[in-house]
Amino acid sequence: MTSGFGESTRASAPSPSCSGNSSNDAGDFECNICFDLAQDPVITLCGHLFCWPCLYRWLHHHSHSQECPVCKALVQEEKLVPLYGRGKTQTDPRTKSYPGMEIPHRPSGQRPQTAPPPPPPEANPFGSYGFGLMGGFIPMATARFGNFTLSTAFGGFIPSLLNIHFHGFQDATVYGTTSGYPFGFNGFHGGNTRGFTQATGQVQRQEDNVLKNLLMLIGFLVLLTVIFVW
Amino acid sequence: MADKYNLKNPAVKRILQEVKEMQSNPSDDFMSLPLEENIFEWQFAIRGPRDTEFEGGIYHGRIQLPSEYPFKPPSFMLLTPNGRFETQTKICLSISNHHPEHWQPSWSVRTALVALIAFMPTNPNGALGSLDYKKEERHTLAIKSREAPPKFGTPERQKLIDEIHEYMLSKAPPVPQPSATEASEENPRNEEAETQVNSPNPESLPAGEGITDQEVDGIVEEQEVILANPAGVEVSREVQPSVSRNEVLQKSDTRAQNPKPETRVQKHDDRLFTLAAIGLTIAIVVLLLKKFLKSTQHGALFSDGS
Repeated sequence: MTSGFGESTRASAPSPSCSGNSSNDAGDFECNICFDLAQDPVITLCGHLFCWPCLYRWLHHHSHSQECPVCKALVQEEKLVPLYGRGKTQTDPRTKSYPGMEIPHRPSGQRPQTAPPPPPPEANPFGSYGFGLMGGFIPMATARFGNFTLSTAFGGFIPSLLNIHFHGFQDATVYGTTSGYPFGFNGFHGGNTRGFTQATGQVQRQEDNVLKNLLMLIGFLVLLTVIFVW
Repeated sequence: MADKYNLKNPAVKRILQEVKEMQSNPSDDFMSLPLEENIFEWQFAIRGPRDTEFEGGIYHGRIQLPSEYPFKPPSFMLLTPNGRFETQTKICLSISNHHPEHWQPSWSVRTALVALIAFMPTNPNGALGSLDYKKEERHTLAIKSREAPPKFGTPERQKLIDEIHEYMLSKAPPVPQPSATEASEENPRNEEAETQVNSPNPESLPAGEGITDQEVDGIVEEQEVILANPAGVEVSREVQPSVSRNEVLQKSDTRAQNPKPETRVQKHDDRLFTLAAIGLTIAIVVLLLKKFLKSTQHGALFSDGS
């Protein structure tokens, strides 16, 4: 009896401090199935963390449906997000948790498109014309340059052909809007989309204001011409 | 203890983790330990839920973990007569191996024992392994359960049962007095009338004079434990889907709202554009008409002169 109690005391004595420290430190990164530090961690859309071997075994060998082991939400393997830490990626095959099973590699992450580059320096020449804000989008800048040249040529020859100048700018607007909108939505996700959308809106508004002012100016000039010439 | 077991077995690793957690965070509501010779065999003891006819009782039981634990559910067997579950028979619960389709690998022995305590006051509805004794009989059995632990199994297992019983005796308060019993008997009736299966509320605590401050504090803590753990389990099931649904709705709303401002802005600019164009056109037309009228009058004057 005495030896029995001694053994139990020894067994329980060191546990509190060790497990307490480990649970406090690594509790947030423990697998919800094996209660140990996650090996090959993956995280579901509902936010629950598992070892990839544990989750794979549950989804493919024990679960009656593709449900999360914690909250029973639907789990789709293609939407699992792996967590890449700083440690080694490859582990010794002999230390695998399930030596008797063949577990495939965990799903790869969904890498979004590369962030757009900063505004190119070619945008500077257009600053003097009031189109500096559009410098961030190369296609629009190029289109605008072409339209501007065409309009200038026509305007230089005959003043009465200012209408062509007007049409040129209108075309530029249509082209800009068309190319900017889908680019924004194709390139970004989530919060970035919101920010980009706002920027696009602001740019379009300013562009429209500029065109509006130009239109009013042209109209005024046309009126003056009609009054004084005829 | 860890040296004796095969650490490569995932079930063994998981069970050892649970043992560590049990020892580092012991609870006043239950006590559970595995046998040294077989870590898949556990002995447990739970105390009767508060404000019920089981209050103060210490009920022993046995847990058998499957070799595929935690992917398969364990089985539970009660050893102390209690009036709610049969003894020496595996009980039928959503957390036991009678319903493997409801088992979740994230559940553990700890959550199972908390659920077992919460199931005691419920209506058995004829479930397998259930009993439906009267409250007076259950109360009598609760008093008996404290006197001595049940006799079961090998000497090693019996020693473990005795240790657990001593621990529970030092933690669980004694069976309440008859006056408190009458008060507690009324509460279950209210609960049944209100069809409440949850744990009793703090407001319904009996106002017995014999209860000291320490007991009151203990009662509050224990109730918090009871309310917290089952609620956590249930909330994790219920809140998650609703949260995800809300997120989906928010996302759809966001997507729907994104194009609207741009469309409105474009429409607004288009309207202004149209109005300006119409104004200019009208002005030009008016001027042209005036010019035409002037030329007509001039022609008329010329013809009159000739």
